[in-house]
Amino acid sequence: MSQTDTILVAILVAFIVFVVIKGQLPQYLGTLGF
Amino acid sequence: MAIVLIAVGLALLISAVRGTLTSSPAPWSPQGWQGPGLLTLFYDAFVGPGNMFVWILALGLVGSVGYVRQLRPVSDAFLVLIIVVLIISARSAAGINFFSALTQQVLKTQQDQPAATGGASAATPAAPFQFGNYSGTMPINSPSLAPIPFTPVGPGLGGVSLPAL
Repeated sequence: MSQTDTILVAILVAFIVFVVIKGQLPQYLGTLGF
Repeated sequence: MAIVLIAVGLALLISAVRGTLTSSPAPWSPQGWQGPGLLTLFYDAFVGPGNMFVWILALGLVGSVGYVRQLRPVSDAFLVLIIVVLIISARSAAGINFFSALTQQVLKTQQDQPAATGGASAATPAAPFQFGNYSGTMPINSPSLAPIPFTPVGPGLGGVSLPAL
């Protein structure tokens, strides 16, 4: 895993935390068909 | 191994095929507009007060230190520290922590999803418009062609006043 992948994974985790905190997870999942 | 980029690309592809990029469900669906689409949600995440750009900036800066091979363990440790601080310190608007919010939202079923988008989704959204000397509101993606209210805002003939005879 290169350093670029490490940074991208960290940003993805932070993004998921941010989405959950804002309460928008059901809306994101809804747009993807879940 | 760009798993993250592949995941983001897949999400955009699925949303584009389902037509939910700008509104969810698709604008042509019989339910009409119920919630924001994927790109709208992305826009809200990165623009406006309380956005996550500063967190991405911090992760990028700390992560870039790791391109120096000798400093990579230090960079990884601080990346983990930032994530942990974000998880612990983040509170939702209702004041609940990350894990409670995650539990609530994961257990939410798809049936009650429109209620989660807020009370405003129950009413058909309307956009104000003005055409000539008429103004009114136009329903956006309304499932029915309901009567559109018109109200004149000025004298007739498009605001052209005729000389008195």
